[in-house]
Formats: sequence, C-alpha cells, structure tokens
Amino acid sequence: MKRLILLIISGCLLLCGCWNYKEIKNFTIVMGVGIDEGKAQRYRVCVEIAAMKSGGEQVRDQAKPKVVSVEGDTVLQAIQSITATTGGNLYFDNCKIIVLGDGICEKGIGNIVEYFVKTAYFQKNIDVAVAHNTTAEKIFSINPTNEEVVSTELANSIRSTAQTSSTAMNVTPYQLYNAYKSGKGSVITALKIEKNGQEKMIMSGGYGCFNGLKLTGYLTENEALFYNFAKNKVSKGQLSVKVDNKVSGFEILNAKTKLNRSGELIVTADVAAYDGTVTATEQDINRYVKQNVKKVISKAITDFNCNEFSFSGHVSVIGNVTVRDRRLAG
Amino acid sequence: MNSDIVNPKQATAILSVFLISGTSVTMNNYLSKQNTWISLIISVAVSAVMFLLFAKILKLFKGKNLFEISERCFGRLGSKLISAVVVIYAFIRGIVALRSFCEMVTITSLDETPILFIAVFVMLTSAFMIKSGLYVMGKCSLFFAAVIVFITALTTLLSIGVMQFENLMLTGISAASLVADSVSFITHPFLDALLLLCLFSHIKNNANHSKIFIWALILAALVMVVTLLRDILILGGETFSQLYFPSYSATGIINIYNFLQRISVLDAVKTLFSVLIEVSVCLFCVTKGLGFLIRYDSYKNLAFPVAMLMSVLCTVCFSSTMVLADFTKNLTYFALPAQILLSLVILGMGTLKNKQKNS
Amino acid sequence: MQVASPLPPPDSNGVIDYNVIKISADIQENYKIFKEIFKNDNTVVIRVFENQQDKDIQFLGISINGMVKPNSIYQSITSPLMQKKFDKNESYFTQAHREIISSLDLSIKTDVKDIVKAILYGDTAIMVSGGTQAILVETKGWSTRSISEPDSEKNLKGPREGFTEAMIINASLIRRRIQTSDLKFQYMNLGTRTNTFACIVYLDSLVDKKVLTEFVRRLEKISSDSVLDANYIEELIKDNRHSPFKTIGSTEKPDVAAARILEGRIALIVDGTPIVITLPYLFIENFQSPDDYYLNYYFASIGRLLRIIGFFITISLPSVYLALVTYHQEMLPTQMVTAIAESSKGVPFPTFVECLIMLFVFEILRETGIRMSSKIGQALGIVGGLVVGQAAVEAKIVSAPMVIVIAFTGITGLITPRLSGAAILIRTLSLIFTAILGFYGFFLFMITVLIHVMSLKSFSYEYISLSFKPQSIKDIYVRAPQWQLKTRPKFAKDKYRR
Repeated sequence: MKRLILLIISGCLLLCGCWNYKEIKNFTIVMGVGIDEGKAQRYRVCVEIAAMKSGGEQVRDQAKPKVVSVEGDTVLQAIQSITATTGGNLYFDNCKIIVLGDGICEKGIGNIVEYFVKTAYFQKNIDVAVAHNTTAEKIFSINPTNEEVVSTELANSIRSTAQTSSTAMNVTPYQLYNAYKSGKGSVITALKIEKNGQEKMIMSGGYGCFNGLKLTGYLTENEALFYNFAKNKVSKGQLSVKVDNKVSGFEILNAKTKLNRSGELIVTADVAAYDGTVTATEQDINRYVKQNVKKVISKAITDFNCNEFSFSGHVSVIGNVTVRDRRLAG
Repeated sequence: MNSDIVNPKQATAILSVFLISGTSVTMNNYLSKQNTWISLIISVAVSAVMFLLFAKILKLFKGKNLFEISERCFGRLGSKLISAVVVIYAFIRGIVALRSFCEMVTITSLDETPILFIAVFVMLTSAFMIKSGLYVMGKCSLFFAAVIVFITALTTLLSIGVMQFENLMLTGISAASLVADSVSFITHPFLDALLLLCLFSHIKNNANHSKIFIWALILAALVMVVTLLRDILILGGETFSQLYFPSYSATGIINIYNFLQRISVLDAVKTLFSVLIEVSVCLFCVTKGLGFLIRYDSYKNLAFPVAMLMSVLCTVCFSSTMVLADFTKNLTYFALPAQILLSLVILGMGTLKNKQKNS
Repeated sequence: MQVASPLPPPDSNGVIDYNVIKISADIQENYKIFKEIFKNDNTVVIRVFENQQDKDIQFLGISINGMVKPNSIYQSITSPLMQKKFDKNESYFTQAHREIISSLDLSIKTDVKDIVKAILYGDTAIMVSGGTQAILVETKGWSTRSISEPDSEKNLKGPREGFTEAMIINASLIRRRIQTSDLKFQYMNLGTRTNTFACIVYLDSLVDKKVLTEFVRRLEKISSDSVLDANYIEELIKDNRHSPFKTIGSTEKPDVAAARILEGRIALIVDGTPIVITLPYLFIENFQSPDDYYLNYYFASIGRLLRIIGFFITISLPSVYLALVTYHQEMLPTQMVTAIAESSKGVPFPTFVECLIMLFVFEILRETGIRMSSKIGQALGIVGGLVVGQAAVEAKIVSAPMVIVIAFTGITGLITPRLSGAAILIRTLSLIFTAILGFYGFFLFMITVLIHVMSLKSFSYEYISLSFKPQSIKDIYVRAPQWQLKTRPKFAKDKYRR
C-alpha cells in the first residue's frame, strides 16, 4: 500500500510537465531592438530578427534578416504585438544592441531604460546607441554589406571604435539607470547614416548628451575624443594639432587623466608622430589638448547641462603630453 | 544518535554556509545602496559579541541542545513554551528562505514553473539530507563551502574587467541607512545562528565552541563582503538596490572575450547550495523541536511530513513577490528582540543554575 | 523383498542428516552405508580390498573418478596397504595411518558428514576393519584452467598473471607475493547445498580485527543454498543493499589482491571463480588501476585525473547539454545558438526524446559488442557507428550535436568499467530531472546523489571523504612517487609505515 502511494506521488511529480521547456529550433532570435517615436501611439519598436537556414541547405536567399516594427503605448505592449506578427516566441537573450531614435530621446527615455534594466530576459550588458538625426528603423533597414545582421555589425563597430579611435564608448542600460537615479547626466554613443556612393553606411562616433535621460545635444567625433580624455577612457586615438595653418598628426599611444586635490584635471598622454612633416612641439600639443578638453567639458556641462563628473564646467585643465617617438614615414 | 555527531570542522562549515545564505537568498531592499558593505561589516562586529554568547551557552551545558538547556533552566512548562517559539520561528525562517529561492528561480530563469513544484523538489532533497543525519549534512557543507568560496573567488577575479571603481565612492552616506541595514543584517543571517544551538549538542574531540562560531563568522563575512563589493562595483549603487537578485545579474555581465559569458548559473548554484543548508537547518530544528515537544524519540520520521508542509505553506502564505519582500522586512521587528531576549535569558538562567550546582 | 535402507529418511529440504550414521568396525556394513549414500552416482568408486599378508585385514576405499590422481592413490595408498605386513599386536587402524600410508597430507575424521564432504572435494577415504574412523588422504587431481591474463583487467606494464577457478592455486599465487607467516588463510564453507570452499586471507598485524569479526559473522549468516560466484556473496553481505555503488571490491589479479592485503584489507577467495573480493572498499578505488603503480608517476597521475574527470563527464554531459539547449539558452554564445537551431530544424522529436533514443541505442550497441564473438563485434562497431552517426543525422531522426554528445558520453563511460552500472543509472535519472527543472533539477539531483554517497559506509569505514590534505592527495587524485608513499592510507591504521 505504501509503495503504491509512493509510485503515484512520484509519477505525479515526474510526469506533470515541464513548463519552461523551450526548443531552440522554434525560436525567433532577436538581434537588435530599436525604439522610436510612434505616429499613432507612443512608441514604435522595431526588432531585427536573425535569419535561419534550415539544416543542411545553403540557400542564400532565405538567409536575410528581417526587420519588423510595431507601435504601442508602452514598450512591453509593442514587443508583445510583434509576437503576433511574426508568429514565434521572440527570444531576446542574444540581443546585441538597443538603438534609440532621435525623437524619443528628446522626450525622455527614463522608463525605457528602467524596463531594460529590470527585465530578466534581456542581458544586462547590451550596448545602447542613439540614432543621430534619424530613426532607429532607418538604421536597421540599411542593407548590410555582406548579409550579416546589422545589429552585430553595429555592436562590433561601437566596440572597435572605442578601442581604436576612442570616439565612442560602450554604454549599458544599468549604467544609464545608475546615472538617472542619482541625478547625474550621461552620454550615449551616436550612430549616423552616411552615404558612400550608392550605398549607405552607418558610422559610430560622437556622443549624445543626456540630462535626466532627455537628449540635450550632440558632440562630434573630435569632441568625443576630448570628452573621453576627461572621463579617462582614452586607449588609442589621434590628435590633429593645427599650428599656423599647418596640421600635424600624432597617434596617441596611451593616456591617463587624474583629478588632483586642488581640483585640477591633469591629462597625461604619450603620443607618437607618424607623419614626417610634423612641426608642432610638445607645448603646442599641450595647449591644443588643454583648450579642447576645457571647451568640450564646458560645452557638455554648461550648454547641454549634462554633468557626469564631480567637477563643474569651469575646471582647469593641465596638459602633460609627451612625444614618445617620432616615427619616420616609410 | 551516532549519525548526529559532527567534527568541529563540519560544524564550522554548516554554520558558515548557513550565514552566507543571508546575502544570496534574501529579498532585501538595501537602503544604503552602495554603502551596504559598510553596514555588513558593522553588523559582523556586533554579531561577534552575540556569537560568543551562543558559544558560552553551549559550553555551560555540555551535550545538550537548546531544548534540553531550556528544560534545565525553566522546568517543563517553560521549556515547552520556549521550544514552541523556537519551532515556529525556525518554520517561518524556512518558509521565507524557501520562497525567496523559488522566487529567484521563477524571476530569473524558469518563469512559468509553479512555485509549489520547485519548493517540493528542494524540500525532498532537504528531508533526505536530514534523514541521513547531521554527519552527512556536515560533510556536504564542507564540500559546499569549498565550492562557494571557489565560485566567489573565480567570479570576482573574472569580473575585474567590468568593474567600475567609481561606484565605491562614499557619496550619500547617511548613518540612518547604515544602521537600518546593519540591523537587518544582524537579524538575518547572523542572529539566526541561534537555531544552530539546537543541532550542535554533540561535537567531537572536545571542541572549543567559541572557535567554531568565530571562524564561521569570519569565513562567512569574508565571502559576503566580497560578493557585495563585487556586485556594487559592477552594477553601481542604484541598480544594486533596485534589483531583487543583484548577484545573478552581476555574474551575468562578466564577459571574457565572448567565450566565457553570461555565467549566471554559477551564482544560481551558489544560491542553491546555501539555500539547501539553510532550509535543512530550519527543517532539522523544527523536527527536533517537535520531537521534543511531543516526546517522540525517532523524530527523523517527522522530516518528510514537515518538509511537505513547509513547501505547501510557502506557496500559500505569500500571494506575491511584494508580499514576501514586505514580510521579510517586517520580520526584523519581531525577530530581533526575540533572538536577543532569548539568548540573554537562557545565558542568565544557565549561569545561575550552574552556580547553584557548583556551590 | 526390499532391503531396509541403512540411512535415515531425508528431511523437508531433501537433505539427509548424516550425524545419525556411525561408522562401524565391519567393513561390509560401511560398504553398504556408503553405497547407499552415493546411490545413482556412477562417478564414485567404492572398493573393498584386502591385505596380501593377512586376509582378515580388509580396507574400504572411496574416491571419485575424475577428482583424484589415480597414480598417487596407487603409489601411496593401495599399494602399501595391500603389500605391507601388519603387526597383529597393534590396532590395524593406527598402523595404517601412522606407518603404512605414505602420503604426507592425511587427516582422521569420525563424522560421516566430514568424510562425505572430503570425498566430494577430491580426497580419498580409507576405512580399516576394526576402526571406527576414516583416514582422509589428500589426492586432489581435478583439472583447472591454466594461469592466463584476465580480459577485463589488462595492464600496459606489470604482471600478467590472473586468478583461476581453483582456490588452492589462487591462494598460492597470493602467498608467493607475500612471503610471511603473518599472512593468514582461514577456510570456510558457504552455501548449504553447494558447500563452496572459501578462504579468508589477511595480514594478522595490519588487519582491523573489528572488520574481520564482522565479516566472518556476516558470512556465517548467509543462508542461501548456492554460492556459485563471489558476486553472490557480495550482494548478500553488502552494507547498503539498494545502492548502485560497490562497497566491496573485486579483482582478478593476484598483484592487486596482494597490494590490498598489504594495506590492511581482507580478501576472500571463493572456489569456482577467478574473482577475489576485497573489503573494505572505498569510492576512490573505482578510479585506481594497478597500472598506476607500474608506470611513471606523471603519466599515472594524468591517467587517474582523466578517469575521475571522465566519470563526471559521463554522468553529467547529456544533462548539461539538455539544460543548456532547452532551458538556459542564454548561456550559449550566439553563433552556437544559431548553429544548433539550424542543425536541429527538421528533427521532429524534442531534444529530450532524442537524447533518450540515442542513449538507448548506444547501450544496445555496447551490450551487443560484449556478447558477440570478437570478429563480428568489430564489424558491428563500424556498422553501428556509420548507421547511427551518419544516416540518422541525414534522415533527420537526430541532430548532429546530439550524436557527438552521446558518443562522447559513451566513450568516457567506458573509462571506469567498475562504475558502469551506477553511471548508467545516474545518467538517465539526471537526464529526467534536468528535463523537468533545468539546471536546478540537475544540481538538486546531483546533491541527492552526493548525500547518498556520503552516507555510504563500507564495513564501518566512510565510503568517501573529500579531503584535500597532502596525505590524501598523494594517492587519491594523483599518484605521488614511491619515495613519498611512506604511510598507509588514512582509513587504515596510519601508524604503520610502509
């Protein structure tokens, strides 16, 4: 009798079903999410869905990624409406990038960022980017050059730009949320559509400045480099120093910025001259760096009201750039 | 009886894994945001005094667990009252821990699985551990403690790349929030070590009880502080205080060259180990207390029924996650005075009785 | 008219109680008794013969054809008994066993039960007229398999001798390796109908006497009527009857048995089987092989670590793959997700069912490979690999990653053959629990297995002890060089140095 009861109980436990059992082959993998201002409703969300070849076949035509966009009053509503159009469980865990359109950023993206931070099925280290003077939908609709997914290319380009020319930065939703809640400003990398002959390209570089997660202005790529100097996030890059209408180019080897006790920003960098015709001296470079960093900081803090730092817009900057080596051309 | 005797090392392991569950499984709302680690250190310093108190209680009455000690101090009626209070408290603690773990599972990964289902599986394992005896629980905790320390060290080292050290700046530090968080840390997990007085009646090799308690406190405090610091450094103060399970998200952010990424399962494993020991200890206290109350010697037969009761009640008592978070916060008000009062009273009566016996 | 049988009637089990019968001084009486005992048994030779010098002295000789050496009977028993002159003043019986029978190994028994037992094992029984006892002379001459290398425990380097089915020979193989009078051999009889001979071997100064007494007590409690193999004994005296893990070890090689005896363990040799069982047996011995001590220690340590890791892979790899692919897909890199999704797109079964099918097919292939003769077995391996691997993937019955996972699981399962039963059970159960609750189910099940293993005891010694002290590491996870293996394992009496 005891064994019968035990058998029934274990049968119920083992056979009552696996609620969260999901098969990969039934997934619709979302690679990127874009959020814009909606015409009829509040938000317009577009997602880029990865293409899947059926196993063993090599048919190229079927392999194009799809872009689907739907409107909704909240982001959650729009995302759930997308499931109704594509017919498949949307799978967000491999989502690589979130692109925010110009219009919605000017209105404020606090609740969008909070949604992405608190939802469990978005990874926490997604890249966030702002579409400069365009909408996220247009960015996702660019035909990629080698039929790869646009989102992967965008995420990779932001990362490599951050590493090689230091004019972009990886920004994650939780960093934005931290800044939002503690009343600080934040910057997000900007994406631009550039025409390259017949084709269109997306360039990443420059920052959009936000105050309380509302867009207040843009910094160009050059300005972004100096902003990164202030944030101590420069790894490599280039300086084009203009002296007496002659431009000398220097490659930044490494850079470090410190805030000393008397509230002065000290920028230390090693540069190398890659152009044999350089005429600028170390003093010139120092002056150039100092001027531009101060200009950019005051522009961000005073003009755009976006203060991530603990110092004010009138901080004094000291440049400490040394020329490590002068490489000869050739 | 033989299977309930542990070494000092195993006792230290059980206690330290039980304490570590205090940061991995609670649904606390930390008021001091990025300064939570300071409040943890303050609470460790205060609890050290209480731990020495607990060790003294065990030393005064060698070979007796908490129920038998209270019988010696307060007579039959008083001991039944105290045992009933301890049993109810252990039960509530067990239910809260179990439900927090089930919430973690449903919120982070398996969101459609019913709570009862997960609870039943965890309690079955826990009841099996109890039926095998405290000795087996001690051996398992040694293994779990080693794994937890390894996982903490590994994830901390791997996450140095994504840490942002400006998150540790002591801005917005206020004594009120620090004190509030310290009090909640002291109540749970540190003063819950009172429950372990029911189990550590027999320890081999003439053990030094204060050494066991203090070493366990140090080890658990180390692991907890490192975990908290890692979470705060990765996530930042605001996000850390808003998420229910910050460790899970923090380990998910770690990314080593796109190969080792999203290793949140390591944190899930660590939580599973610590929850299992915490729930097993609570279950053990309840069964032992019930056995003492109704004078039932083979109390281990009560393990499975009580385990099923716990899993059912944890599903039914809390209707939503927010009710659970609220209840956890309010439990502090009841638990802290009860724990302090109980331990002081038992120590006082115990010293008196000892003096009477010696004189 | 039917002659009344001189024997008592058999009892309820069909066994005749021989204690009631007594040997008489009259040889013809004894002849009738033994003819009745061995009725319908044509292999038993019962003969009455007389002395040449004095026709009054009669002898009764009983032996079993095929179990004895006829030459030695002729040389040392029948020939001297028939030809030598007996002294009339002394008892014929005493003279026969003291002076006439020239064999060195003889014993005197009164009980008919002992006499019958000895005859059945190959001794020759001689009764002399006037004596109420029997002389049992050692004349064993049955044939046995010659010493060969056992198939299941092969070495790369080291001794190749294996035990045979004869207990005496096995005992001698062990004795040759441990030449000390401290080595004790205790005979026992097991099984009420088979009366199998067994021999307990141990070193008197090293063995734990409590374990020895407990072992003997359990052996004597065995009430089964047939003991044909050491495994019968294993299952009857095990500590935890329902556990899939072995708590009593077995081996076919004398060097392994001798090494275990030298560590303080007890060995039991059973007649009729080349398997010798040793106890106590710890979990880590499942991963040890005698090769570890005959090869270079780096190579041996790597081999041992590979075996331990291989065991963990074989019990967890299908479950981990299933959990990653069906519950926790966020842990996989993006390219892997798309690759797995594409390769399993046309497969109609869910991943869990695929896994079960492939495991089942693999077990069938493995079992068939063992039972087939070797030539067909090789061809079957190729056919099985080709059919299952290639064609099933193309027919979209299973997906390619699943084939790889199961193949690797199966191969690592063959690294530790002693744990194969436990491995299959744990692997399947953990697959079921993973399919229910993902990684949480997997870890909960593994913790349950861990709790079970930690509560196992092998004759009051802990089955597993996860310690990382140097004393333990040097022979558990790796094999330290010989000059460092100075003390015995901690479970044994650790005050004895090697």
